[in-house]
Amino acid sequence: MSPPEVTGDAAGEVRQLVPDVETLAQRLGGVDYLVDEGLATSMFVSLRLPQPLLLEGEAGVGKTEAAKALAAVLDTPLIRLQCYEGIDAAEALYEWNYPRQLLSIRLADAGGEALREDDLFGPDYLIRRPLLRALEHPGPRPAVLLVDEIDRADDDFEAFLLELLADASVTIPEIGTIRATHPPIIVLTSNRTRDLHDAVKRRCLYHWIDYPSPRREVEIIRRRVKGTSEALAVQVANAVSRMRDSDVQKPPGVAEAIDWIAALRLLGVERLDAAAVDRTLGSVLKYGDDQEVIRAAGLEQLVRSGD
Amino acid sequence: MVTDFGVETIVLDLPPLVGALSRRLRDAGVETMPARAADLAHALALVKPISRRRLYWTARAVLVSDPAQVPVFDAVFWAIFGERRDDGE
Repeated sequence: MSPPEVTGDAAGEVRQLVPDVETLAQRLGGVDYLVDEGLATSMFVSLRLPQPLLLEGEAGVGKTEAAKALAAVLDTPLIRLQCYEGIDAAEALYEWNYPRQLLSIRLADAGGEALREDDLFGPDYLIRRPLLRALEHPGPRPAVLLVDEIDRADDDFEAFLLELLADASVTIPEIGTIRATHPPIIVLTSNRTRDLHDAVKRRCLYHWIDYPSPRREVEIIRRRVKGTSEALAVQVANAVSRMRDSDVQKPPGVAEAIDWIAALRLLGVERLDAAAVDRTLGSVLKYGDDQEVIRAAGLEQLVRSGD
Repeated sequence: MVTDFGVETIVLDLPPLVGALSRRLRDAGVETMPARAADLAHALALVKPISRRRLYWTARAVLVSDPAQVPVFDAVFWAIFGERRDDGE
């Protein structure tokens, strides 16, 4: 089953903001998220078909940021569902506010009022979790729902999630069916710790985000840490790229490159040399073991020019 | 016409080519759902102008669902749509 079409004004608003791939890429750049053509195209198609977009890639390539940037471009809320092992409908969709129900019962008792069960299972007693909030979003544009690290959730949850999103509605026995008036724009991310269900792959568009090319990474770094010289950004991008090719457990992502630049700038470093790397290595490699690997290979190696 | 990504527009008779792409991917072991061909046609109607590279990324977003499928997809795609030109990204 394909997701319901975004109809009426919501679709019109999205179409107006994002008439083509180039405009989307420009607007994403406007919120400092730089995309290559592959990512821009998959995001555009996902928005306009519409179909959920599954993003995969190494940690730190900007999967989560993509959803944030999309929400910023559409000027709509980002609703994030962080997945973890054992996550269930109560955490993702809704649950009843038991403490509040109990309190109401006590108050009613004390005041001698009669309380019906229906009173206790109404909207006021519902705790709305991210999926319900995304379905209930009133517009004018659809919310962006980020289902982050879906590979951490269990198989069953994945199936539940996809079904719910395909229908864009949920039935709460005590209340009835809630149908989304503006079905959310859905971005899922996975770190590939396990294979996803075929159903997910069938229903989603897919894009693998690679590390940015060094040229693009320089651009990203300079956008995110204003005032960074091109020379320093180039040195950092090259050093980070060498770290990714090395034998570290957790290769630095774009976020780490940005952290590193921020640390270097804080220390007033304008040129990367072995001494500067030595002082700041912890800001780019978060594991002690990884720092050892890089030190053992020689910090000079990281900062040599050319390749 | 040249777009911001520096791509040139080419004119192709798409439906038969898209059909051929799905078929040849299946022959090469990349299973695509029948609904995917319709999705791709719809996506291509949205994504304009259609340069060869734009066509590549659109088809890849719709038909590929795993990085392991990319080499096969690449081989099939470029066999149908002509030589790959790595101009930029």
